[in-house]
Amino acid sequence: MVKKIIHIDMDCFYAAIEMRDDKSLHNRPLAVGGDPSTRGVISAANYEARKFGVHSAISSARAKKLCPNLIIVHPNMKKYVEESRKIRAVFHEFTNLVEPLSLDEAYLDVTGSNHFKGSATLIASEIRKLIFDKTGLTASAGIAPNKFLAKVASDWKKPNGQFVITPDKVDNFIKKLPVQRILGVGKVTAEKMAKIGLKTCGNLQKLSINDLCSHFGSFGNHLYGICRGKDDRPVVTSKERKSLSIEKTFSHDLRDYEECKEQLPMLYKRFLKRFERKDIKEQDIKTLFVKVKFSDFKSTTVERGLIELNGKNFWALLEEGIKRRNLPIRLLGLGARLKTKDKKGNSKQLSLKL
Amino acid sequence: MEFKIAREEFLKGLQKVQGIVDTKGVMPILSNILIKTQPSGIDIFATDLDIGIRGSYGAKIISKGSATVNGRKLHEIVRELPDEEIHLKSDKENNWINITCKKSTFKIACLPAEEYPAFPAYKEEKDLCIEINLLKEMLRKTNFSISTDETRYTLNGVLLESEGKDISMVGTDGHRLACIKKSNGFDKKDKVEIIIPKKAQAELLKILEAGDSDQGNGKKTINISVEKNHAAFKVDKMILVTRLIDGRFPNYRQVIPEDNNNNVVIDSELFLHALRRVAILADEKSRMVKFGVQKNLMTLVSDNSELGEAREEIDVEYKGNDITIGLNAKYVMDILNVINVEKIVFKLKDADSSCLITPTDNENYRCIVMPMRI
Repeated sequence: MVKKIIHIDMDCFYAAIEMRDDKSLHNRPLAVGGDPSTRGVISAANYEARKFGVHSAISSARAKKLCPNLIIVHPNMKKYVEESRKIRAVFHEFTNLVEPLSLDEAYLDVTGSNHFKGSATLIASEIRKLIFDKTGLTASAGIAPNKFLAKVASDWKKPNGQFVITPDKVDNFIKKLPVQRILGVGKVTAEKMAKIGLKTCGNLQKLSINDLCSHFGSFGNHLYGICRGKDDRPVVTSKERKSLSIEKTFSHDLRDYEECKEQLPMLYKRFLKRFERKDIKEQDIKTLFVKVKFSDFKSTTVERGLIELNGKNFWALLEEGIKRRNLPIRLLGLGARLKTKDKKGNSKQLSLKL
Repeated sequence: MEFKIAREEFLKGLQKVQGIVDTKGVMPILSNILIKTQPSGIDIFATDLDIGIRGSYGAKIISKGSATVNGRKLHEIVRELPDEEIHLKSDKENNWINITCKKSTFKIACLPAEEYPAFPAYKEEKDLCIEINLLKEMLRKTNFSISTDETRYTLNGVLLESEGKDISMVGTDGHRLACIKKSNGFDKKDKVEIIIPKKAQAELLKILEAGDSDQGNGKKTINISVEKNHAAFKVDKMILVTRLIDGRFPNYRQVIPEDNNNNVVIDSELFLHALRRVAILADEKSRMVKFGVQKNLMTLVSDNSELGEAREEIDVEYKGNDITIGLNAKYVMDILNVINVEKIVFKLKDADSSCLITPTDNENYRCIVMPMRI
């Protein structure tokens, strides 16, 4: 059966919430992120700011250079989570098959829905309307027969719009789709593709699965289906957590062991807090790992299994990581990889909340 | 050491310690049992260092002393001997023990009795007194749920709780839980709360069950004394001392569902047989059977992608909504095997919530099974 998937993507979510709550921010370039003087990073930017090239993941200092009038607001995660809850509640009015990707994005499988006589297009507009009624925020939606196309489509009429790719339009649509639109095709892969004349999915279609694999490794298998608009990944309602970690970029590089060691209690405390909040039990831990990023932005990780969760063990791992390079340290992170359900036994069996 | 003992009496004593006699030979002395003479009989003692079992048996003592011999071999020998009096005698240096019975003689090696671990200390005064039949019932109705996953060690045993006249026992492995609550008749002032390890409860049950044939013990009781890390169970001339699981049993009361209002009344015998049949074709790993209920009808369905599928219908009393829930068939069968009532109530909420199984006439015995995603 042909599926009906909706991808909902909130329009610059964090920034939109800040603008909603402070009218003085309207029509001004705004970003949510850390302080430029302390190596903060941008997590979201509104459309005014994006005109200057400000986007998420760039450093706040660089954003300020690109757009000197940029207003940078500190993130208020509690507020964003609260809004995200309201949005998810709207999704669940229509289907239980909701796969959240982040606070502001989700896939919905509305195949066989009874709402609006099963029209995914009407469901999507109703969802966007309800989101606006409940939060005052706008969302964009993509409606398509699979997750990949739905995600591409939600970007098509952004902001505050929606786009449908019906099954009969898939072939035409995909042929002209630039390769950069494929998740997993970043700058490097796109350049590599451009060199051999591959600019659109239509170009990719001309290659055999073997050719694709010889150029792009195992990713070729995925590309073969994707460039034909095929993607049979199901909408997964609960993703199994595979790891959990925290990290901190320091405002000044740490110069030696002592300085690193001073930071450990703070990091460990943050790790434990997160660990507890996610309701993970110690016996679910498979390995512990640490991440050390040096002043040249290169990072290293040290990982070990079968050790007890405590600060001493994390320090032993950190010590090992730190001594690998003789450089000042920019970032330290602590993490744990978790046992997957398969390893735990039965994935279908639910547990008592003991 | 020299004594004469009836074969039957000796065999009974040896059987009771077989479960804890070590067979792997990690510590050679733990493969042995200790026999010690008393004025009017012998004591047989064995330990695996976590559990110690000691029993007294009638024998004619000719000369006193003690010896340790291989527990498994001695048991095998006595089991095969004719039902006559057995004569046991150790040599002067205590290196060998001679066993004679009618025309059979055996000579088996001993280890020095002083090397055998001491019997764990326990206090004489009792903290709790329970009717044997009651304790047996409680153990049988909860022990199948005990977890074998050693990462949650507090679940590797049964919880025994007692306060006033109330006594309850709980076992759980995190996916299912069995909980039985009874009134004890023996009032008890202090609260007792212990976790009896899986192996110790199994040995205890064996001792209690072996007692069945001893005499018609309707109201016989067992005395329990509890210390910080140990508990001692005393019945007649037997004593079992075990190390307890150190830790807090999770708050099981919070997972007992209160709002499962879709009650299905089922004949337990019919249910068990139907389920056994359908479970044959359940997926080997998950053991899942789908339980569908609708007005006065329950449908059991299993399907195994490789082998085939099975379906069975059972008449039930039911008036609620249509629900289909996936459960591990073994979990449900374990309950039906011990529940021992004509009719049970299968209480459901929905496909994702726990299922509660109780007898129809009371809620003293409650079993909870978490569903599987269908």
